[in-house]
Amino acid sequence: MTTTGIGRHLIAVAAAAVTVLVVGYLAVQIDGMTKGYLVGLSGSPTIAVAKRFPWELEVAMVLIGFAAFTLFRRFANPVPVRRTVLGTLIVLAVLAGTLHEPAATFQPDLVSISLIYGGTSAFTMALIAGILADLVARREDRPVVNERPAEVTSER
Amino acid sequence: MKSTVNSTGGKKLTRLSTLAALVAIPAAALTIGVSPSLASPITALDNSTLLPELAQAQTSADRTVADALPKNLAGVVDRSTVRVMAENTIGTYSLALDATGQQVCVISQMKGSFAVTGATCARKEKFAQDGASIGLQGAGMASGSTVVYLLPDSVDTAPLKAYSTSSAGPLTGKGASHILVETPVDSVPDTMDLRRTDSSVKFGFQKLHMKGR
Repeated sequence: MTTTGIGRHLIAVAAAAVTVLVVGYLAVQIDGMTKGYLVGLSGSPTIAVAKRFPWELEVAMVLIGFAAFTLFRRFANPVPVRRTVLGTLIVLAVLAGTLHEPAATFQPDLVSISLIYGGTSAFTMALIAGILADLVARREDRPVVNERPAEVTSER
Repeated sequence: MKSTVNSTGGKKLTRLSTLAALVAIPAAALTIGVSPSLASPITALDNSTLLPELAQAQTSADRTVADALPKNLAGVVDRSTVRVMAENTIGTYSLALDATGQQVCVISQMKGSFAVTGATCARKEKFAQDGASIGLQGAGMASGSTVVYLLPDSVDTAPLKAYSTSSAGPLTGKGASHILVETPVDSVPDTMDLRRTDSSVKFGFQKLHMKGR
């Protein structure tokens, strides 16, 4: 693997992790606002607010999803880089699922709680499903090479 | 037949979609940044704002109540945060934080030969929205069943207090204005909107219904 190749894989891991954390942060705040509070940097509620449905955060979720998918299709090449993104998302989902119950016994900080919410969110599951479908479609599109050796005829 | 691929159009579309994706990121950040300002604030959830009584040192009366807590409650409630809010002829009513410091507890200690103590805790954000209430019921209780409501400091409880007939005697204490004691002879309404002194968001009082009432 070349240096450029390793760099692409590292960027893929970082981008996937940042996406999960941002999605998790949005999920934390959406959950909080519908229950009547805002979450601070400590990961715990800091201000009580009137309960409301934060439609603007749902819009932000769509914008993040659009950016993630578009940039993934544009820059996550070749296929091994796409597999790295997929692997990172799966690892984060499993990690978040493992931490989900223990988190109820202590007060996690904002990063930890964003990871837990993001990794276990339907959005991340959809990302994993979408990338899997993309990888399968790429394999289907790959041309099947089945040539017979060319017949050589010579004329005198 | 030869097919021509319009590569220029395809490249243009790719660049446009990449640009759109890059614009979407700051647009999302802007939306996230604006979101808190769209919420109507009620109160900060730090102890000094939500529970100013905790800023005062624990008195001997507070310690007496804390020491008298049953063993099963002593593990739930942080004894050092117990503060007596009010008392009347039938009981003593206190607030405290739970062991994690994230929940507000209301403690009701009934007086008399069949002394009963109960406590209930609510997360701070829920307490700020709805307050906390506990009902105690027992055949041996002189007062019958009693429901004690602890309301946040910023709530104007005067309209609600008018429904309490003081059949158990007047409530005295530093937090008496934010404690409501309901006995069977009181006719507290099922719901009531109360004004808050520091927010435009009304406090929605809801009566705790006890079995047999």
